[in-house]
Amino acid sequence: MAAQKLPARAEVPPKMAAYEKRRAAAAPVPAGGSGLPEPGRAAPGGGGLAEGSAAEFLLRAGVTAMVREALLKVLEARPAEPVSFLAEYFERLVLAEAAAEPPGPPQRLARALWYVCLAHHSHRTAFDSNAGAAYEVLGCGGRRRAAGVDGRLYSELLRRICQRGAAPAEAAAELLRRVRCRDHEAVPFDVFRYGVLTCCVLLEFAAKADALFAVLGAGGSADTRLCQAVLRALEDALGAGHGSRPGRYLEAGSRLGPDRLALAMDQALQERKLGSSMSREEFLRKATALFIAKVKPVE
Amino acid sequence: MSGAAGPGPPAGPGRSPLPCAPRPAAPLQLAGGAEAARPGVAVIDLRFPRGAAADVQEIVFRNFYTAFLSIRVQRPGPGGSQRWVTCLRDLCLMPCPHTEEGSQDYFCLHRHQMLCDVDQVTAMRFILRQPSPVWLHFTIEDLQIFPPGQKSPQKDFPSWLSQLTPPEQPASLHGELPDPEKVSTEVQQMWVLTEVIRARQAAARIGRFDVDGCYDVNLLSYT
Repeated sequence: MAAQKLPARAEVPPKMAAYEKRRAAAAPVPAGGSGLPEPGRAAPGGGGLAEGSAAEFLLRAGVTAMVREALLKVLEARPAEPVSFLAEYFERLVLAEAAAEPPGPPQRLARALWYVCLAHHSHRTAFDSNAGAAYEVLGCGGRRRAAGVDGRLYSELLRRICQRGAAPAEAAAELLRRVRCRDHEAVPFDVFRYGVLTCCVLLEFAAKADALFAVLGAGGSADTRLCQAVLRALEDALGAGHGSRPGRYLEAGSRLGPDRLALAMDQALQERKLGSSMSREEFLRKATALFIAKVKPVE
Repeated sequence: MSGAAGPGPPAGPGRSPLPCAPRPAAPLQLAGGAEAARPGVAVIDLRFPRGAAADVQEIVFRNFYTAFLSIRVQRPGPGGSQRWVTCLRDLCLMPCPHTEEGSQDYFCLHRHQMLCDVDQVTAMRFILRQPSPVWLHFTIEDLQIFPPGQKSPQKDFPSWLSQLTPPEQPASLHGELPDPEKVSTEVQQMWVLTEVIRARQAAARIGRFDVDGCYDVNLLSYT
């Protein structure tokens, strides 16, 4: 094996050298051809036209680091439309650089909000690192000292996250009441991350509940008995099982399987012949209440 | 092979194996043979403490690369003497001795699979055979002997596990019932999201000392 690998390795340097040569030959042509002065290229010493200047320029202007960072963000977030994602990303960069003086709270909030929403919460590492970036952005108050994140900024950020989705206002308010900090309190990062995470998950939960309602009812309303049966099944599954984790997961899976749910819904329909209808808002409110009951309050 | 051996857990809650001390597997040595020769046969001896006799209901163990297993037991024979009888002969644990299949499975041998009665047993000898030269060592592990009269662990399963399908099937579901598959998908995802919150709780605390917005006056100090 090792004997086979060696020649393959030895081939790499010549290839790379050829590639470098081609790039070096190609790069100076447009620069020399167009006599227009380029702002980024006007470097002291006039070394811009020397051999291998392209890579040097990219390094000096910070393009390499910037593009690498952008690629990293794309990989973390895996957006459905990478072009618009990148466009927004670079737009943010321009805005951030344009503001020469230290940004005020509104700008910092906007940047933090953008960071938090970059990656989905299921990409744990990406989400946590973005939350860290948001925490730093929020915390760096002006005048060269890190002010830290206080409860006021934190609550405002959470409020803005909740506004981005379709979660009912009551649910958002109730969630904020559980995870908020008081205005004067310094917010540790762990609490910050948890608060941001719960808000993001609440939005997704509300979206799921919305989709469930669409399945349960054809139009704008669904049978109350069906809704209550399904919600009760979910509540039972959430309350059940205090044992080991795998056992709890299996039990919930069995309780929420299609046949059990079909049975529960069928029984609910047979209870009373006359059924009232439940509105979408009411269903969302009841469903999100189940979720919020499981959120541990910050203390 | 008969349905003799089946994988299963070593012991369930609510039943305890007989106390016994199996010796480590001893490879068969030929007289005058080289130390390094591997005869492909090993023996595990097992005695019950203080010479007590035991009734055997079930033998549970985990295989480790043994291909065939024979068991001999020492029982009281006619005239009060103890004699050795074979109660299991060449049970195949690995269908193909050269490959992995069955090599690390759990096996559970029941009384009715034995060739003779296994009451009043004072000693047992497990004879392990591995004809394949592929495996350096072979033995059986986690050996446990269970006496009769203990309930099977299957009784302790929660109802949702033993009845994976609902016990009563409705005669006919209503026609207007929404698609249970879709409902189940959405509800399960909602459950998972709640579980995410439960699993990733914050460990840090703000460290508040007040109760309902009021401080205990003893907590305040001039320093």
